[in-house]
Amino acid sequence: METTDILNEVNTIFKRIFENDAIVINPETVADDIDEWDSLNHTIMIVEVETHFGVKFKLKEIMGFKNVGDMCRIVKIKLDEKKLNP
Amino acid sequence: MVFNSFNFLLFFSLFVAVYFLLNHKYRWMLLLTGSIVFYTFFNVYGIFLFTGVIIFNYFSGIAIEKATNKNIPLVLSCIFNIGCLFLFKYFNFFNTNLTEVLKIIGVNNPVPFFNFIMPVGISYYIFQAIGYNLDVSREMQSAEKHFGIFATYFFFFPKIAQGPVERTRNLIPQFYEKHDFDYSRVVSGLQLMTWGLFKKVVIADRLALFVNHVYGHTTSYSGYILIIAGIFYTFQLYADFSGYTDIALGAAEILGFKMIKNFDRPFSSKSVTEFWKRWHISFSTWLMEYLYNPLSMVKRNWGKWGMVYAIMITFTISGVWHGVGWMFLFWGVINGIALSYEVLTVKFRKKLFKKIPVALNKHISWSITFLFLCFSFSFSRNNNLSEGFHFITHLFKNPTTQVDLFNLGLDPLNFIVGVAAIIFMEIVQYYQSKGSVREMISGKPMMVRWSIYCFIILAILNFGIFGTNSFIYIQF
Repeated sequence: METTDILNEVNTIFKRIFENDAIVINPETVADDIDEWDSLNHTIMIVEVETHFGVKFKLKEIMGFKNVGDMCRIVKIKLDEKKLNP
Repeated sequence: MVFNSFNFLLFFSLFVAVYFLLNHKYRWMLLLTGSIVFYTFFNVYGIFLFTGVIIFNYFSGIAIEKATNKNIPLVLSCIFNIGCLFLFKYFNFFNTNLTEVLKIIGVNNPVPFFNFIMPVGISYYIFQAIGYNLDVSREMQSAEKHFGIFATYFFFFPKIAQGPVERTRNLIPQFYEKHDFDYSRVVSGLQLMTWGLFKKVVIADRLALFVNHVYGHTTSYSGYILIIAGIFYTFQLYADFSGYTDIALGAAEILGFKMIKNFDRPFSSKSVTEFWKRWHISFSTWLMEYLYNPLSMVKRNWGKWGMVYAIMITFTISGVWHGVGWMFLFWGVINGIALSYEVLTVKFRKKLFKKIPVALNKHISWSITFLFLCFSFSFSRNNNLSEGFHFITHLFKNPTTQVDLFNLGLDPLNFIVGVAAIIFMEIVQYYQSKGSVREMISGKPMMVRWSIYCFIILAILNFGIFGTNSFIYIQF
């Protein structure tokens, strides 16, 4: 799966969590860009992304996310690792 | 040397003059020396612990950066820093309680007390040191190699006594930048310092006369006296702490440094969650970044209860950080419970508020939040649990004896001046919500500008309470 596909699927998750179909995210999107993105929704979003892609982030990885792009990049690395070591 | 003293006025004026005359490459030496002199006015012996902490963290940062397994030096540095804080701030409190417990079973406490005055600013510099080591371990910044700059960052006098709780990644790079004398920046810094001084000496220290009198004899009062004292204490605390911060940020701005914002109209908050994003921001973001976020993420599969878990731990530590004693612990727990309630009921409250007109919703939310804040602050101001219990149980009881409101530290004139100054501060803060008041003033004609300056300075000189020797948050 390419990073752009991951971003599109994450966008769908965002629309569902933030109950807003108009949300369009990009790799540079940060919490300040979305009104309802508080710490509660942040936690829900991380869990939803993990469940959707079947991956588990390390705490250090989550703490290092500076924007949506960072998260999608880690998802891609984990999906690629899973493909190599199913 | 506190900010509202003549000594500081003299020290800072001389310091600024020499600072701008000196070549940039020597300025960190002046900042370090000046800051050490400033600190020694509080506590000469505290300088040795502070220096020890700086030396340890200088090497621990480098060790963390070089280590393959960063956890070992990181954990060691945390043990050292928390150990110092425990020993110098909390040890005697624990020992006192241990003595009481052992007394019940008829045993004498063999552990001796630690006779040392708590060093000023210890909670602030220890938390900054922990944050620095965590940042290096997360590779968010490299370890600082210049020991002089590293020590200057920690000793930097505007923040040495009561914050803001800075981040090395924000302030250290600024010590390498050359700061030329900039007239408009100096004027802006002076405006902020003057406003901070107004809040401190006209509002905080005036309200303190009433607050200290009532809280000094809590059990003698009930009803509206306790309510007024509670509201006054809430404004006193804010004016005192934000006043200090304004002076600190203004002093740093004059020298060319931009420190973290610490307050953003906290009493305009419409929830306790919002309040903690607006009050003591440098500290609450520290807790959020280094404690709450990791804790809530570790327990993210618990959903909202994972957040409640993280909130309760974070606010209990916040309470304990603020002071030694059960009252501070309870204050932290009360705030943790309020935030947990807001997390658990967020969807229900959103649905409920959709049925209420927006304006009414705002006023109800603001009123509930403000009353909660007054309650939590005023409760924690009590000297012990029994006085705190009296405070809660007698808030709405009529006074049993006749009490003259104007005989409790403030005569009618001073009482009115105090209330008027609070209203004036809130009006200024309302304008702050529209944009920078300092920029608004700068855009006015000279006559208007100087009229405002004269008004504030005359208010400070005429209505200021001078001679108080401390700020509330300095004890934390």
